[in-house]
Amino acid sequence: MLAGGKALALLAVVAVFMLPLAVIALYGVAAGEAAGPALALVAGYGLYLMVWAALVLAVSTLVRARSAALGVLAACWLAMVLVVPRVGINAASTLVDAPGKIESDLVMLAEERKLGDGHNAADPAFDKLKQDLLDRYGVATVEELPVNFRGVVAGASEEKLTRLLNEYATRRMQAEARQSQVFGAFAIASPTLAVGAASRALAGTDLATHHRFLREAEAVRFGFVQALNDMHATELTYADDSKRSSDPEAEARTRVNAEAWRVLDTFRFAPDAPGDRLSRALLPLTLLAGWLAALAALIAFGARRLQP
Amino acid sequence: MIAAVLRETRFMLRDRAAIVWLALTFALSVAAVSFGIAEVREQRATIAVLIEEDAADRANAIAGQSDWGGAAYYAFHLTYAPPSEFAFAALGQRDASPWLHRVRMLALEGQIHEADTRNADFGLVGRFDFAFLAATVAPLLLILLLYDLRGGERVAGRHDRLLATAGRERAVWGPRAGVRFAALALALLVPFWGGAAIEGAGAGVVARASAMVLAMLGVWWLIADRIGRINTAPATILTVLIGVWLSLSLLLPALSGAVIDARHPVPDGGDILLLQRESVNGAWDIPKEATMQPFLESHPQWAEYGDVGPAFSWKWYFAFQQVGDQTAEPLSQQYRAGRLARDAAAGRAALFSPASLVERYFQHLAGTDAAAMIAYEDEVRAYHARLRAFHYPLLFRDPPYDPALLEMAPAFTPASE
Repeated sequence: MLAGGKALALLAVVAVFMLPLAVIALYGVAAGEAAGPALALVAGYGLYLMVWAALVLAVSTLVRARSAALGVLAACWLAMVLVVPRVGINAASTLVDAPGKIESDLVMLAEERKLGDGHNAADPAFDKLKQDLLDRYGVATVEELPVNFRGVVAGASEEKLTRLLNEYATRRMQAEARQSQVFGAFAIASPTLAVGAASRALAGTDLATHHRFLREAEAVRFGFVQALNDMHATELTYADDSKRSSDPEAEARTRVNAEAWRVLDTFRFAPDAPGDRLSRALLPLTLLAGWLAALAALIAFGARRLQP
Repeated sequence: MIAAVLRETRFMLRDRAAIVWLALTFALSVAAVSFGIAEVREQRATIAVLIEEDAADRANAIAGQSDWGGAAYYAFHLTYAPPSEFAFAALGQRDASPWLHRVRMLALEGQIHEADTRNADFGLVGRFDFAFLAATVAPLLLILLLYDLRGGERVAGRHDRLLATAGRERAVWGPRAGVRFAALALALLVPFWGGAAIEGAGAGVVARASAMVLAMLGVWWLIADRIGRINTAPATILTVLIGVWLSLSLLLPALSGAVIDARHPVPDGGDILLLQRESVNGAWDIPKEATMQPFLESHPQWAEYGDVGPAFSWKWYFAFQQVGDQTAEPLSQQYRAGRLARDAAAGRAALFSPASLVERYFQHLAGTDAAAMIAYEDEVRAYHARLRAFHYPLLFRDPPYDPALLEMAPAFTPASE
């Protein structure tokens, strides 16, 4: 009876705290957000506050002295909000080594050198490419090619370099995802981490979304650069290109129309589909529900013990 | 006196709650110190590996070159700020500001704002280092140890009798609170002293840091004692104390941080980069004279070698890199001044928050505060200037190419070494 009354009072407090979020979520839905993630966000924070209410109730049924109960609760808050998340960060960065950009760049630069310098068509790394082209068009020198050899080299080396860069970027993202997995595991000990993870996933501001943005931006960059390299190969003559720095007229003919840059204006980053965001939030939301269920069992146990 | 201390120690050891809080303090301190040491060791290991790889990479890059310009263009140079012996206790700004760069002769503004990227999830929560534990968490643990001294006796009905037998107020509560205060301080500081010994931190620095922690905990003891005198239920006293702790340790720093950031706007590093890139890339489209003129104005000693023909020349190339930096300089200065102004304002605001005061003092001692990070940036700028001073005579006078001469290029040495 007593526990039931207290529970009602705490739920009323939770409801009051939830009001502003509910109003903002409604506004978000009216402004075009899908109802599913908005509802899940409100439900997630509701669950989170109920976990705290249940913890208050559980401690106050199990610990008799009011001041001792308050002390225990303060310590729980300290642990779950201040200590566990920070320890999680330390543990994740210690357990999973994600080498910094400078370190991995150094390793990559060494490999890049093997690929050849794309700005220098005379680089021996492009001998095979040159021979293949000469054979295909049945000519003897690069000057006789119907395409601008410099543009072909730029495109080929861009492609190789991008493959290498993407390989390193993927490795880095995987290491970061593993770190975040370790960090996320600490949500078992901290509902604060769980609700944070759920809300980032639902809002589309989590690490997975950040990584997708990086990949999409890189794809746009690659497409744009290759379009320029194509123009370089097909619309600029090799003769003009070679005389570019000595002959002002040739220089003028090697300039590309600014229209070519328009492709960059079309890039728009869209958030993940509501279903994807919901499925990524499922695990932390389940953790919160687990906390609530465990605390409810504890309260039931404590309430039975209180009864004479 | 000794008898009183022994009596109170025995009394405290029978209090299970006190044992739990002290054990927790000790465990957290061991964890914070170990994490800190692991982190600075990893940073030192990274630096050691990079010094080796950087030299190998540079030798490799130079090996393929046939002129001064190419050698200057392809050679990277490592710059770094190693963590101090005390950095394990306060990692401070090292998490947010770069302490490692590889710079080359290109425009520096395009390189210096680039930080080694970290996991984006990690920026959400700070690190658990000793400075955070001592400044923010320890006061709450002290409150939990002290709030119930009088109230507990009142509830047990011994309060008035105790006072009557002891005669003086201080004779009862002094030793009792003093023993708990000392126990907490030891649980907190012993692992810290151990870590400092392992890391070889200077005794003077450790003594000053310890004194700061004791002084700050002393302030909290005073606050707990004042509020503990109110004749009310222990739960009420604890609620008030937690409220004071929350306001001074968490709310006030967060609030003042937001106000300071809003009042001292700082230009975005990205904007500086963009301005510098636009100036550098724009150089290809303007007459070469438009680049050489501002360059020779700031470098009159090269005026007699300043003629550049219509063909590509490295001296023109590196001149427009430098002019790009000169264009971005006002914005870059603004960025530096803005960060220093923010830091100064944060220093004034910290006078009202014991937690901020302790953290800032630790970062100051550890060389991980904003001033230290900006000092490192200045070191990188000075090094880049030496690099340019070394390469300009080769680029402008253009003596016969001799890679052996490049071994005389200035090497970066951190100011702390």
